[in-house]
Amino acid sequence: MSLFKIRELWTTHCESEDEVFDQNSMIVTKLDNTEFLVTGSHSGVLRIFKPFNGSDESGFSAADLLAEKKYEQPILQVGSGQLVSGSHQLQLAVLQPRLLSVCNVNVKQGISEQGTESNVEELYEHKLHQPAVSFVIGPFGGVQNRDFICVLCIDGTLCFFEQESEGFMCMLPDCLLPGPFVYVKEGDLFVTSGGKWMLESYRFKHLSEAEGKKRKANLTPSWCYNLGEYVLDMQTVDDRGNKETWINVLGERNLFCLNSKGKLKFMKRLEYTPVLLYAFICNDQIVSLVMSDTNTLFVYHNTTLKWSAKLHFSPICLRRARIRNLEGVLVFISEEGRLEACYLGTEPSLFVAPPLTLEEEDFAKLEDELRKAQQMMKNSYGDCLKISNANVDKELGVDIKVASELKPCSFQTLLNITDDLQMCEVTADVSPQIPFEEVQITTVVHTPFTVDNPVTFLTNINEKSTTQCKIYLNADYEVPSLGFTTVVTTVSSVGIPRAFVKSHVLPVKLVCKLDEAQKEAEHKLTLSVNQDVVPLSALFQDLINSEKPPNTLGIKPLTPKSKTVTIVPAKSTQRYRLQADSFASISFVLEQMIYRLQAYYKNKDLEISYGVSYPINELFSHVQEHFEMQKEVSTLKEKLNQFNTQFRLFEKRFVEKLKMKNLSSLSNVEILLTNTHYEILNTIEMLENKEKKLIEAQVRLLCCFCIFKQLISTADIDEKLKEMLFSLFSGTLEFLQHQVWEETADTVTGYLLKTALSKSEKDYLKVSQATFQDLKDINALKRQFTQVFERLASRGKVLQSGGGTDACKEITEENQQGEIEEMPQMGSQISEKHARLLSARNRSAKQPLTGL
Amino acid sequence: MDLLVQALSLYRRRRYDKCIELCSGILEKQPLDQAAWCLKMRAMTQRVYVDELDSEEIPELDFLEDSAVATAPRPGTSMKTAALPPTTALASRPRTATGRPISGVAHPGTQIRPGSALDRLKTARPVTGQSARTIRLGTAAMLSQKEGPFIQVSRLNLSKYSKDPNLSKPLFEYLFYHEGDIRNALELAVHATQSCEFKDWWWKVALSQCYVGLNMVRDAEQQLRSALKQHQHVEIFIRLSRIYQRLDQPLSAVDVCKSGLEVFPKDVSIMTELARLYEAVHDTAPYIRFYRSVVIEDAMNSEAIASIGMYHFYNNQPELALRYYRRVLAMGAHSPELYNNLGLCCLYAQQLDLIYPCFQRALELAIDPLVKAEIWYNLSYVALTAGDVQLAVQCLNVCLSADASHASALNNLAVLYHKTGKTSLTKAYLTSATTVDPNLPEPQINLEILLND
Repeated sequence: MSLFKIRELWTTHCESEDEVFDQNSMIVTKLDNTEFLVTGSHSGVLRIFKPFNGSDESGFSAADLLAEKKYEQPILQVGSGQLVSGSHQLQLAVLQPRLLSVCNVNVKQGISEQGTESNVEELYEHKLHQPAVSFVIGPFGGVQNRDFICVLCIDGTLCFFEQESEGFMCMLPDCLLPGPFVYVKEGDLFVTSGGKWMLESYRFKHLSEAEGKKRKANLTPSWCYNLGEYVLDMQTVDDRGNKETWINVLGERNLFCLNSKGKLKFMKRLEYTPVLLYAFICNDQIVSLVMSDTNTLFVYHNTTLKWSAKLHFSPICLRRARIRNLEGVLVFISEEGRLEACYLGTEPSLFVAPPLTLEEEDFAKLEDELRKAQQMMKNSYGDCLKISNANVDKELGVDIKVASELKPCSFQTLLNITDDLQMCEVTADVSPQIPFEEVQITTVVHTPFTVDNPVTFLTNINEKSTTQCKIYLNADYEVPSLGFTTVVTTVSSVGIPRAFVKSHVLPVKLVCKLDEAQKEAEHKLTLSVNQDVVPLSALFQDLINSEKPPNTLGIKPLTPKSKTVTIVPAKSTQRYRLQADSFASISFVLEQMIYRLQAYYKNKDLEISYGVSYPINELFSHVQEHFEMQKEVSTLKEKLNQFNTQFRLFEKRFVEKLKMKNLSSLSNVEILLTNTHYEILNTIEMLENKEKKLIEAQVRLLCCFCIFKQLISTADIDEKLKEMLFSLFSGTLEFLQHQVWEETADTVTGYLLKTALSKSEKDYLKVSQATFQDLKDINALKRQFTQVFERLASRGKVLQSGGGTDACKEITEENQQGEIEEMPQMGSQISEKHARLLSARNRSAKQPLTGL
Repeated sequence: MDLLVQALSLYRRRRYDKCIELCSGILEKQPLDQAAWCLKMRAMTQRVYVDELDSEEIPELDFLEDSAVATAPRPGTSMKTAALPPTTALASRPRTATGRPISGVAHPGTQIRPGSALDRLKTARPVTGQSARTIRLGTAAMLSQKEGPFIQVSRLNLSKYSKDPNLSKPLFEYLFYHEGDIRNALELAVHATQSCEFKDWWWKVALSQCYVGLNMVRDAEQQLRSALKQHQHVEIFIRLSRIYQRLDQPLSAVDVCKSGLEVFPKDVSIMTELARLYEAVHDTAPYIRFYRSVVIEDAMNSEAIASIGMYHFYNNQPELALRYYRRVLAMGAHSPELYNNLGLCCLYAQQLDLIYPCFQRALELAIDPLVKAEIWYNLSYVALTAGDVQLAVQCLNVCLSADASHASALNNLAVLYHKTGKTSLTKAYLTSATTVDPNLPEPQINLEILLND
């Protein structure tokens, strides 16, 4: 990124196709008072340019190329210096892989521009024994008016040539790959870089002493600087003002500047990939020109960025020259031989963004379109608000059938009995009237039932389709209720999500069989009705097959832990008695009784009432059992938690000891670890047992809830109060597992006593002070419950005269028939989707079987 | 020309593929040519090299790790619970989902995905100290080799190579950058630092790189401290500061950077690091000061320019911000975020004719749905300023269609619906906003107000 562009002054291109140049392939030198550009390519072509030779026109003219010479071998480097003894002229040195030749450039000025004649004259050459890489020229050893050459070979040999005569050779120690190297006049030093990623400096004197001694030469560098990266380029700068020589080093990531004693002057971290470096002194400051791989030239005064400009091609070598009386022209050469003399333009070339591909808009037309679109949105939005869930039910046409004929259960269950076990098929027929994008039918059953195929997901349905699932008993718990629910969620073809719930009842034969009626039982419930007593054979037609119908009926649930429930219709009064040894077992029988009685007296007014006081003691015993079990489980969990923390601590200690690398201290920790591990295993085992028992207790508690709900629903009390009482006894197994029911019950009963069932206005005021506390004493709860039911009973007597038959019927209908519940209206489609997703997630969390 | 000389020249000209080819040719003839082997290794490393200081994602502290000093640090001493500046316009700067203020500049450590470390465990993304990028680089490098790997790392005699000063460093970089094999690189570095008698700072930095990759941050700190005693290098200071950032000790990181500035006064890299640090702890004054010093030292630093521009924008000086952003644009940056910022500056600087062209360009350039959502969200502001509520609602709807979990858009939509009297819709949108981002205060306050009415 840059604001400015480098402007070209003079440009040319080497003619042949596949010439290659490298960073040493060009120099700017004063062969003849004026500066020449000398290039030598890897293809072996030496060219000498003089920009604007004669002509003042801009750009390249043929006369600018003074001489061109083709060598057999590639030219690796060109250089210049006083290389002929007795001459003050500068000569050219040309390095080829095995040959170093020195030549003179003669320029004879002609009368006209075309008459200028120049030729390259070979003076002498030196053969090399090793393939050369690069060379440096300088007055080694402090000679005056003469320059020597030092050639670096690929194996690290340095060959010195003192003008025409061959000098000595020596080896650099430990050299694997030769890197850039320079000669520093001040101190007579050679600074080399290589595979060690260090700068090493050797005195010329030491090198000459090490002459001839091959590999084993004990050359030690006079100083070292550990750069820590590969050196791309290196250059020396003479600071005449401070009488210092600076060595500028371009690494792969940083730019360094050192003095001749190997001390760092500055370094700069480059945030780009650098390619080449050129440094010079200007006003006592080191100016470094660094080119990045994105062709941007950065001009640094020491470390401060002064300028940056973009070049339109990627150069490989950069030199400064004085061209046509212009100081400091930058000469670039690219890899392919594009040679350009440039200057830093000050006119900013602002970035122009590419134009947008937009057509000329017709505003009237657009406005029309917008209006149409808005109308469309409004309509669709209105539609989506109008469509209620009832419509969706009709449009989707879900018909759920519970098969009355049972089949033998083919699934593996947790129950021990196998022969009598049966399963019930539930079929859901979907016959949509409009296309739906997604329909999901989820069957939700409660313990101890299991459904084999809880979720069916249909996409893009237009036609009738059927899904089936099978429900069967799967665990040895009491059966709270025979009801199950089906949740249907849909996304219509226009993307409107909807959901509704249907509930159904399973056939009674699924869970029980006939048994001998028992005369006496521990728990009894009495129902009174205002119609004639129906013979049990009429009520339970599907259960009783025998010719001679018995007067009393014994129902034995299939789960081994349940007890037989006996139904005894009274002979003279309009009453039924339900009795069993286990209170929980009565739950579903009571549900069936009420359901069947209501079905029987469909057209007549039926009033079912529960005469005697509510079976509070049974409830209490179950609550007590549940509460204690819960306490035990939570203490066990706490214990497990403690052990786990302890275990982790030991583990940490273990790791720390490991770090100390002293194995003897480990054994103690190991004992601790194993012990804790055993403890954890034991606790887990205990916890598993207890949790199983807890679930049993929870299911029994749920049975109690169901019984109470049935009883309350038949009672004559205020509709609002009934709702409140229902909420007290609501809950599923999952709910009980995540909440302590007793705590909620405590709060709810407290609230009830202070509001709906309050004795006087005084209590009403206390509501706001109700606080939530951890329940510690179960007896307080019991007291509250007793109070609730006492007040309820007295309230019921007061209301008795009013006669709430309608309300009663309403409720029972709600419980028994497939009632469509409406989900709460959500705001927009988006948030609805959210809510749906969230609710779906919640559901899947609660119901581990419904994998969404 | 000698093949090795040519290969060396190709390497210098960054023709790595050809250089590798040439070196392979040499190695076929002379399998034991160390120079060619070393050069090939270098070329392969350079080909995939990415400066990990510039690309490093600072991983959130591992929740299994116990190297953190305090779990509940005092305000101002941590980047997580940084002291919030007093309620000025600067304080109400929008923040990313990770809590970092949005500056429009992506720098190391800003690409963290939202969510806690635990949340991210659930994704396919590995939660290790090694960033995903280095793992990807390793696999990419493996793919590029047709005839099996160049070096069988498991067969290397690392202790032998560690003694050769010419080979050990390139080999380390090859293992670390090309193979992505931190374990073996670490082993090599351990041997090498022993064989040079712990005198080479480079190996200590190398060790710290490995330790960071293996999430052994404290060991890395030790190595860097020791390296710093031997040698002063900008990179060591920055690496050490990064270590402290990883340990969530911004104050120590600041100390390290300041001592670095004493050695290398006005160093752009260190000052940038300092500015980012102060930005992370919400300390506005020094952060803007350092960015200004960076610009004085390096006028082409677009991160600094953009950050200063953003500071002026939230300091109620949109005209100044506009100037900075235009400078960035003139330098050739061409991104949707920049045009978005320019559009907003134009809006607040009352240059109304330029608002829509800027946003048009931003929308044309935006590919990422999250960026698109942000642009539409800002466009809704433009619409509101113009008084066009209908358009604002539509902009917000488009924003939500690009990013359904944009809590602020949900909140604003709710407010707009409230103005048109649709209370139930308002409530629904506010609840969605709170569920999407429970930490955003606006929807909660709005919801409370609504419920109290």
